[in-house]
Amino acid sequence: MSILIKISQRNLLRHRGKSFVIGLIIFLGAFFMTVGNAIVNGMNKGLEENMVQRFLGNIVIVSTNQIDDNILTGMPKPKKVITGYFKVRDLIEKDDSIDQYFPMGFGYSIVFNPEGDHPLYVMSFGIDFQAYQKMFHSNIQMIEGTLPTNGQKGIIVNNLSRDNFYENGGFWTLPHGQPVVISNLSAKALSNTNKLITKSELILQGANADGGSLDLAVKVSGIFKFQTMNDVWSVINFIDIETFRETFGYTTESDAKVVLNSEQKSLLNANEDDINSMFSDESMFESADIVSKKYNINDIKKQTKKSDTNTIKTDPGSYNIICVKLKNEANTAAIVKKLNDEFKTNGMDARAIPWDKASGQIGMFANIFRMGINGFVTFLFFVAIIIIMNTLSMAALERISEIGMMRAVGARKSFIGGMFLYETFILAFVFGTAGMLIGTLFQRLLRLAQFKADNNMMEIIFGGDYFQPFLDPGTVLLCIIQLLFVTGLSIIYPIIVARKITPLDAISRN
Amino acid sequence: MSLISLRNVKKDYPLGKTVVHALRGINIHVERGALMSIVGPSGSGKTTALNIIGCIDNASDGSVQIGDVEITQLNDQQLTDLRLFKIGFIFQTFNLIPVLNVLENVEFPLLLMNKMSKQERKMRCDKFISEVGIREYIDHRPAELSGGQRQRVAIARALVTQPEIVLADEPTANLDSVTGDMILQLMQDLNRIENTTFIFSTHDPDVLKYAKDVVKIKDGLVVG
Repeated sequence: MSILIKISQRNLLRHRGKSFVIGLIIFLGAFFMTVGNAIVNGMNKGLEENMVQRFLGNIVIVSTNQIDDNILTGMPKPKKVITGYFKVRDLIEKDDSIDQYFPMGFGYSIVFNPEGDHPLYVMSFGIDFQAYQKMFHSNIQMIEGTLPTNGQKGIIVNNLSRDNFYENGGFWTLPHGQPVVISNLSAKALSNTNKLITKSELILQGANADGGSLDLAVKVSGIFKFQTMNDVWSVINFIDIETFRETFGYTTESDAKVVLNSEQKSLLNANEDDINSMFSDESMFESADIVSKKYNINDIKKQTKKSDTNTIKTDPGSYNIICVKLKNEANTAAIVKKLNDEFKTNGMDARAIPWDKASGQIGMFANIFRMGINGFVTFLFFVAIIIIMNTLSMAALERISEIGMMRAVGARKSFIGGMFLYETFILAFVFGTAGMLIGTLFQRLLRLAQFKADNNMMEIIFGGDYFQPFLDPGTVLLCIIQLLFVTGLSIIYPIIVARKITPLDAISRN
Repeated sequence: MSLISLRNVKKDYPLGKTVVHALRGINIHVERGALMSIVGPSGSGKTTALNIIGCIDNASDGSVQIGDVEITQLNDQQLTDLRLFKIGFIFQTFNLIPVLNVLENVEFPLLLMNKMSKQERKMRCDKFISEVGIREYIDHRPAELSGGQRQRVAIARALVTQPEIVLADEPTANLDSVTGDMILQLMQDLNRIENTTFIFSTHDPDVLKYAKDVVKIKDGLVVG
């Protein structure tokens, strides 16, 4: 065994008290660092799973006319349509870094409510239900009714939106043809079961950025909740993409060609001087033959009712956002830049935004919390560095005789520095490993405790519905690097102090 | 050619706003195999002179040569190596490494030299430990030894590298007279047997009988 190692180890035992104090500081630093990193990692992993994989993707592409990057939170803003979607689609399909993409209609809808005083507002996603489930890991979990399939039309309502409809609209939303499920009633609805007004059809109007929208009765196909973070996304409801486009007025063919009869044509061609002739007796009255006929109300309803499979002539390229999942999320920033450059070069109406910016306050809050935890850990490091540095410097000064004598008999400064370095790294190894092990154990206990998020903010902090701190090999490696960094910084000054000790200092002291 | 030559060596120490002139221009020449004592009252400058010879302190002015090396021109690492390979130290307060036992303390400079096999080191250490008469305490740590025994360990450590010069600053100051005599007798024997150059400082006139040469210092000057 090297003499340096031998002396270092024995010195640590000789100065047990000091060694323990320094070791304890390293232990606490390693413990909090491990737990802090596990929390941040768990949050990142949770947000990655729940926000990226289950909800938004790594990147969101919007129209260049969509000025604000924040498309999910804050004041509701009309969402612009991406012009020339197919060109954008072709471009992203050719991009090797992109794993999957999913175009969606996205906007704010008004639910008209004859029973209530105020209209109700919801966030609507116009989607292909099956494709959505495939892209976002079956994030929609049906509670009542069924998910529309094979081009069926309809809306599925979030269970918390339904509670809100009842709270503020006075009606209980039910999937078409389904009975009331008592166990799913909100507390308020449960207290009023005798007078419960139910609705299986909602009158929706899209809040279109361009002003063109329609009131449309949309059949409620089901009630759902998100697998995770349902509280956060409680206002989001899904409509089939065709109906979505219809309510938002994203129609093309039906508007494209209007056939006018001769009377309409003459009216359009009329000049101002002829205006009176429009209201002449000849124009105002028309004779008609009145014939009595019996009508069956059911037949009329049948004739006027819109078929579920009725083809509506909407613009098949009308999408507001495209959610994109990447093969390697570590490259998100670079790919956002690359896509934006390509969109710009090709003159496309598209702009790529990373998910955390697109999710507005949610991403911002997540980043702030992450920074907070990292700041706390950094503060701990700082305190630990100061304390360890001070204690080791004092230890160096207390060993002037010993160090000075070693220098006198021929020990170089590097030997003295190495001795201090080795002593500190033994402490860092022993106590740091213990701190990390206990921190890992504590992290496991926190996971097993399954603390549930009580509100939206907690769901964001937890990165999901449950507090799930998580350590992976990368995070453990990060902890080790941080520990080495702290130890390395702590030892610099004491080594400088020790190296400055001369044989003369030892003699003077004696 | 002298093994050690000090020419017009001065040493000044700043003390607050004043300057203490510890050495005012001394000239000392030591031949190989000498057993020299530097004597003088406390504060006369004998320890300063020893420190300068031992490359522990540097002269403010003048020339210091060990062999053909002008040590005032050397950097810290060169001085350290010179101490390791050419000079052995025996301190007044023994200055052993408290966490090492007798054998390890004696072996320490050899390990720093890093030039011998384990076997060679063992043999060398055994030889000097036996010569200073502490073989039975080989596994003891300094705290478990008496003052005299510690000083013997210090002597063995100083000699184990077989240096050209051994410097001893008041080696008997912390020892009783019997033990002190034994230590000086030992140094005298080693000087005779190993032809090692010994320079020791003292202010005790009784110690002078062991020295072949005596240099008297007073107020920073050589007076005899």
